[in-house]
Amino acid sequence: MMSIEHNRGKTGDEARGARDVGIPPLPPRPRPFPDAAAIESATKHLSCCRLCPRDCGVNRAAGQRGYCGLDGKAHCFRELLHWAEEAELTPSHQVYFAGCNLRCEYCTVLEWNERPLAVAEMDLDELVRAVDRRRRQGARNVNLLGGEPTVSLPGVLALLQRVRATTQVVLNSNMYYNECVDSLLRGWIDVCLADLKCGSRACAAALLDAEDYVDVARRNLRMADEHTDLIVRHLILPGHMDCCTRPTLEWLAAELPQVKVSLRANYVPPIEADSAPKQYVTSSEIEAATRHARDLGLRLIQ
Amino acid sequence: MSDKPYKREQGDFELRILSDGRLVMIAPDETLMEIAKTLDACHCDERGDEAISTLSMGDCFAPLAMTDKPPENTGVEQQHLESEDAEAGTADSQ
Repeated sequence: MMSIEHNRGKTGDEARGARDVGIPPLPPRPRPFPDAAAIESATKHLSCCRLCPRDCGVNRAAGQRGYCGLDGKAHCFRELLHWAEEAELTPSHQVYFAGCNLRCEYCTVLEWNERPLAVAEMDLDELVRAVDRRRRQGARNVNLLGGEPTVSLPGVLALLQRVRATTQVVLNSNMYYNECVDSLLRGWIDVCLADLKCGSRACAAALLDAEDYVDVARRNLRMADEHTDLIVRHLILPGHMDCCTRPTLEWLAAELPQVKVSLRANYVPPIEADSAPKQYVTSSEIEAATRHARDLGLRLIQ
Repeated sequence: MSDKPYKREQGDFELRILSDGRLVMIAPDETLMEIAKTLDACHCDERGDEAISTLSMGDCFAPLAMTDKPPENTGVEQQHLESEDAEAGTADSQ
């Protein structure tokens, strides 16, 4: 683990402790990466986009926009070295893609997802240089998140074509996508850091604007488990123990008992909300969720 | 000044100071994340606890001090500051 220095005499990455730690060892053999045909296959889907269950059917390649608000290009709004992902992934180079196919009332990056085209188009060469720089600063992986990265699938694959040979790839997804996305990603993702947000159709409809979310995400988790190192994240929502947390943990124990589970307690209530909880999660709720997960025999990780 | 709550714009971040002493950082840039990490570590050192991080994709809590009594105010005590390098292609990626 790198030490952090806060030195007023330094600037930029150095002042933040993100120093060059030397050239990290390369993997024993290059990892396979998407070829041009894989990227072209993903791009074809944009002409009548049905990448996610919204099934908008719009021609994003021609500039039309569906629910996610994206055209055919990938738009990245931030990249940084993150020190507090799950321990086995940290430090992690996060790359944020704008645009999402959910509308979580409590989203903390909503401003980037509501107007994704206000974000600059991804500069692939610049991002590849950033991946190399972050790797030299100690990043153990490149971590694709958003928004929802899978709605920018051709851009994601174009990035992976350039970096996956030497970099472990983490896909941090809400898992709300159609089966074709799993097929297009199969083989290129090392770790799937998967959200499983709700436990009921009613909560998913009210909180995420996606009544079918639970069924879709659960199906996709099963598929992701076949070809990735799967970590399932569940954000504890205040007051949603019986409808969301408990059913989610029980489903995991029954269907994917071997996967790693990460309980998250960092819910931030939105300033204005119709359905989202207006309070922060309490320690008793965290303890109850943790205890239930342990009682079910789940593999909890931090 | 509008009586409606401020809505974050792209490039903003949001700080909330909760009544139980926690500082919540929403949509922070890398510099703020380092501050949160340092505060969290200092707090844990004072308590003699292991560092338990709650930093996540777009938001940070620091220091970690969970309470059974939810704070009464969730959005009143806040400041909005402009982030210098929150936009794509700026300081971090150059």
